[in-house]
Amino acid sequence: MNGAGRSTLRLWRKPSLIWLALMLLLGLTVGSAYIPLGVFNGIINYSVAAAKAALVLIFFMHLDRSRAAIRLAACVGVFWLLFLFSLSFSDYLTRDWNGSSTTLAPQAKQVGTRERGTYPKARLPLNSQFSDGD
Amino acid sequence: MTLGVWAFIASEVLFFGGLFLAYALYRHLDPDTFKQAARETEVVYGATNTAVLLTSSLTMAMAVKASEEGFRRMTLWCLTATMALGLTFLVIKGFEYHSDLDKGLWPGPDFPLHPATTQLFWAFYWISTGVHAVHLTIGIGIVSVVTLRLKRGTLPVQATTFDGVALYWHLVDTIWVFLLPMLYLVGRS
Repeated sequence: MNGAGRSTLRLWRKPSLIWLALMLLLGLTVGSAYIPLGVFNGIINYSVAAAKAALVLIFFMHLDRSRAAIRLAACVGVFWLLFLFSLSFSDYLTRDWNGSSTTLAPQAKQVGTRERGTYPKARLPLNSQFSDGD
Repeated sequence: MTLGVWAFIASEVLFFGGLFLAYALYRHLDPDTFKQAARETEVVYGATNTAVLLTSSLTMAMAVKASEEGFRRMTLWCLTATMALGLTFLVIKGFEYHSDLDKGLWPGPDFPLHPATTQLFWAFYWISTGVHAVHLTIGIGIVSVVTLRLKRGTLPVQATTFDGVALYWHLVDTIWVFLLPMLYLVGRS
């Protein structure tokens, strides 16, 4: 590894510091998983994962010295994930499936609980051959 | 070239993002059985593998740095170390799969845990770690080709190829960094 004597060692300094930070974050996330913190366990774990990913993205993948087009391309993937998760969860969090209730849609819990024929009637001028005789 | 590789990386994020969404949705729908199923994963294997992959990212980044400075021997050593660490990951994964199969944790009729939804977590486990291992194997293959070409002299030491390969390698590492809390750190406390 001594391509040019002593000078190769200085190349290791900054990446090794990043590596050390990554190892410390790893220890933090595994260690904190064993402490009962309720919902904060998940928050800590995923924040640490995001921090590790950010360190790798910025320092190892050179986003700190890339031009704007590259940084945009990196953000595109993340934005797509944000859309995917937010739109999909906006669907699932507003339903009541298998007893997994959600405080975001208390009305959703009442789906299927009313007597047949007691639901509000549609107000559109439905074609009589398609309406169900109510 | 770099922009092209980043476009590819964004598409890979798309791919794994779908898997991660499925995990998140199923975990939301049935959190208790998910935690029960997730307790059967082995943290020691998972954490060790994470450390191995993060170190391989370090050696890969150092290979790129060395190639930029024109240090041919250092580049070769760092690329070889990256491959060795990648193979170490796969070996540890092999032992972990063996242990999981010994416990019978393959979704199917003989599944040892009781609410059937625990099989969902384990199906996700096998699919995501399997696909990740395939990606890692492809990465090791690419690194080996590039190392051989550098050794033979058909690739100059200051080529930008190493940067592209490194981006892919860091992506595989980043995916694993997210798989760690999803698979190994659920329900531990």
